[in-house]
Amino acid sequence: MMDNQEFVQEFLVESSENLDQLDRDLVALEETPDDPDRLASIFRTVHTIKGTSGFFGFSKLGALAHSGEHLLGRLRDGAILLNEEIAGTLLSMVDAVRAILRNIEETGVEGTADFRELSDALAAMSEGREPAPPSGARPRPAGNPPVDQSLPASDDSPRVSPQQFKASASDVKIERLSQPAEPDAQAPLAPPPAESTAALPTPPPTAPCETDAVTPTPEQPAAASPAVVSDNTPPPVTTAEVAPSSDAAGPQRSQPTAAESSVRVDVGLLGSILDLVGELVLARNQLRLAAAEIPQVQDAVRRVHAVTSSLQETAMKTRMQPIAQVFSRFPRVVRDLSVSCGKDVRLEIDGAETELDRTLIENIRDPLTHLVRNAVDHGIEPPHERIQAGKPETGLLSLRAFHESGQVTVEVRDDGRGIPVDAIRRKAVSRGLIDATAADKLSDEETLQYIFEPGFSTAAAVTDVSGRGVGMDVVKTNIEAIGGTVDVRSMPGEGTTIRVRIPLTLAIIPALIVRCGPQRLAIPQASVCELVPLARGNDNTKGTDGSDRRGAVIEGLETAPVIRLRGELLPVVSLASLLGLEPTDAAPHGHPRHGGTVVRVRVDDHEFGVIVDDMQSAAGTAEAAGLTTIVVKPAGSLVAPIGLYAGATVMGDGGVTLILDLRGIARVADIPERLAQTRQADDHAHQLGDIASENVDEAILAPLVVCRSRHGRRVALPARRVSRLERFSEAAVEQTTDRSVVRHAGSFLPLVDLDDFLGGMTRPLADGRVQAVVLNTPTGPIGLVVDEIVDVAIPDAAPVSIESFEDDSLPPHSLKRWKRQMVDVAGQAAELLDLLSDSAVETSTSLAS
Amino acid sequence: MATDLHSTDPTQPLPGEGVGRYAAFLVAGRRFAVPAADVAEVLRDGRVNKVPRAPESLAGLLNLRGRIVPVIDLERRLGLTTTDAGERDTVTPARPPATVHLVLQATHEWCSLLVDEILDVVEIPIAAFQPVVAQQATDATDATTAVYAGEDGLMYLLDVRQVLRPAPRSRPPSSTSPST
Repeated sequence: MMDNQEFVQEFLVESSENLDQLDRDLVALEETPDDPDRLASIFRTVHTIKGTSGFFGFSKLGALAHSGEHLLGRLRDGAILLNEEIAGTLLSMVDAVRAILRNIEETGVEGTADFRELSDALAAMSEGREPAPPSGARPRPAGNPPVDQSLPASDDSPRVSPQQFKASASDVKIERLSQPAEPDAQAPLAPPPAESTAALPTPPPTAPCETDAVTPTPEQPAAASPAVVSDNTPPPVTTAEVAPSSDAAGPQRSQPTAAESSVRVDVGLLGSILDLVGELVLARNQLRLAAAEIPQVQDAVRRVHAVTSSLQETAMKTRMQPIAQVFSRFPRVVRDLSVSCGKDVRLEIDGAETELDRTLIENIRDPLTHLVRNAVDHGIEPPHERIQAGKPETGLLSLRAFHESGQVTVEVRDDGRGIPVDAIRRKAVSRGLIDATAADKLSDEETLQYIFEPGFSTAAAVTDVSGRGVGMDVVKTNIEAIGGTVDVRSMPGEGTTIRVRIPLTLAIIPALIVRCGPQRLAIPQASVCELVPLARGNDNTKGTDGSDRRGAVIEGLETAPVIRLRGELLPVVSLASLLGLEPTDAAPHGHPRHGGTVVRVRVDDHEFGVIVDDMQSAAGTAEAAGLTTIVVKPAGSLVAPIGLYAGATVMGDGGVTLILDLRGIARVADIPERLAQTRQADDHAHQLGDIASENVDEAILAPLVVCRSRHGRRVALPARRVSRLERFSEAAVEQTTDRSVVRHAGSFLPLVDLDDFLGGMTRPLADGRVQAVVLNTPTGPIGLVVDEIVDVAIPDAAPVSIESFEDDSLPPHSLKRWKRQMVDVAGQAAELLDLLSDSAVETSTSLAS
Repeated sequence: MATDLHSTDPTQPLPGEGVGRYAAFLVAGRRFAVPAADVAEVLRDGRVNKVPRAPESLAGLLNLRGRIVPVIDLERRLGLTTTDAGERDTVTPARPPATVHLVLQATHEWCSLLVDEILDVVEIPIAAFQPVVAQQATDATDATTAVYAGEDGLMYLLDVRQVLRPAPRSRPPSSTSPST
């Protein structure tokens, strides 16, 4: 037994994978109880566990698995039908097996827990035809011929001979385990490949004939290293189980080469390979720098460069694994939890094939599990509550993973009761995290951030109301530890969406190196959209047309600078002032007077420009500036909390360069979300939520777009409602019976003259050109026709309310349910228009076809 | 022998037996020490890259053969530059530029402490350390675990793990980001 330790270890690893597969299969089987393939697959898996535990003399395990196998056999034969009770019992068996395995792992023995009751239950379910075989039936010293143990006397199924047993073992790796256990038994046990298939006693059409690809040979046990050929696992490296299913069917003759082409490698080894490649990349960068002046070595340097790049890419690939590895456990988790909570939950999984770095997979496992449990436990309501709320009885929990701008986003969304923002606000106040007046000013989104405060969410006041968010601080800490972010959105009564964004890899990314004052900084290329040169000799004009020939001009107030880019306003952030690199009075907006560059970036739903001095090549020389491959390294526990840096890297010249965290910058600089209209449709609900739940007063000092109507009224619109500024030629405007529309991006954008909108006189569109401010409303975009855009500015003081529009007599597209306030902005009064907080605007979306 | 001693948790210098080896150094005229086993190397010309908006105790980042190491300005971290008269009576008024990097590998995290001068490696009986008694907790007392009263003055034992955390008093714990 002792010398089997290594093989026992492997058995444990294999089995735990098999158990995960069982969880998945059993839960799936509940949906389609008569799926013969799946039943066969489950049967084989349990059979394998039973057989292998027999080899090692784990009698208790063997007995348990046997009971389960027997029940499964009956199910497979159609003698009984799967119901929830049976599924539950089978899942209990899986858990029991898991418990025993854990015990074996920790103590080397099966432990004292008694599972006879479970065995009995399993047996009883097999129609009580025979009592569960007592576990004591085959305690056998280790090293006994495995055959005996795999064939308990009570087994009435036709699995008998060692050959047959071997053949039906679905997983090659496990099979090999048996060899050292009983080397002498080897000869009779090793069947000729062809025969093994034929000998299969059980009818599964998907007989796992991989066995033959292995041809167990005596030298295999000698493979003492953790690297073991995992013959039947097609994708490299992955430990995902080899679900002994479908694809393994029949003809295996053609398989051997494929089967032998993958290798099971220790993850740590891959990690160190990647580290070394990272070092090589750095050295390569240095070499390029050093060799720049030596023509003789240029060719060699180029080759080194090319080879290093390929090597790096290949090394990265070896570590990629599908996120299915994490997702696969959730059907079981959700099932168990919903049963125990008395809830009805449907789990939808999307994008399980999304790949990410192996180490990251490990690191998101627990946080995601936590989120899923939270959603079922606290988010989704019990059925009666859901019916009362007018929702379908079955709650929906959706797990989605996808690639997005160099990152992997994992979304956990439920359609439950949402998080009670007010309760959190009160709790934050009562815990002294914020004072009451400040709390009132917090937006819902900001308030939700408090669930990430350590210990916050476990507090009774919140859990009683919502129960949501227990341990969210741990989730956040864990995700942030790997350079990811957690983002929560919730709408009371509608549900909660938590988005976890994780870098594709921690290791090597392309980045743009920029200079700002004395600092060199790296911007991850995945977020960079374009570079916009700034006009030299910026005179800070706020002309009507700033997007002129010489480059962009920074406009707006100091606290909310923007540039005009193809008719749209892009908020910009001065890196210099953000990082405190220059005295703020150096220039109007903290950017150098002589030009500079705006790096337009997009991250999450934010799009903004970062003002930098210029680009720099990695080597710090004047050679072609631009993208460089950098090796991302953690910047340490003192830098991470600053919230502006995602890490650091070592440059070719040996200097350390910080990598900007654009998300953090957007947060610090308070960049509004801008891409609302381009977001996916399913986010629309969130937008509505934002608008509906918004406290009107929060908008007081937010930036406004000031424009002049054709009648010369000054009207201000909250910048966050403005999705874009458009100019059309008049010819593009089409008239319908009661309104004007313009075709835009495949749909019709309703146009309303601002004066008309305000209830004033109507004027025909004229002048040849039409300037529109496109607003987002809950029912879709609407274009307000104005004479010109005057400014974008922060109001000088809070607006004064003069009236609200709630007049039903107004025409359908007018400002019904809007409010109008007076505001001082840029020294002059303007009418501030905004949506009333709790209403939808009845604009004419019906036009959009 | 020494290995035995270093396995003793320096954060809890309970009266014990034997002698510990400590690297002693000067910061703002005061003597501090860390367990000698934690010292990875001493650098005199490290190029420190500043980190904008970092807590003032973080002098910057150092490239140590491809490893990025945070550089702690100990004087600031320990709050020894504060104009606290009671704190300063033994401090030399004019602070020489701290140019010596004492690179430590404590637990699995590396760091470099900017110190004024490396003194020596000294052997001190563990039992000779006394707890730091502070009438008022400061950044300095928080980061020290024990004090040794030697012939040539007091020597404080630094808690390196504590030093690697941002100073609680010089920076509020709320992780509010800098405003623009």
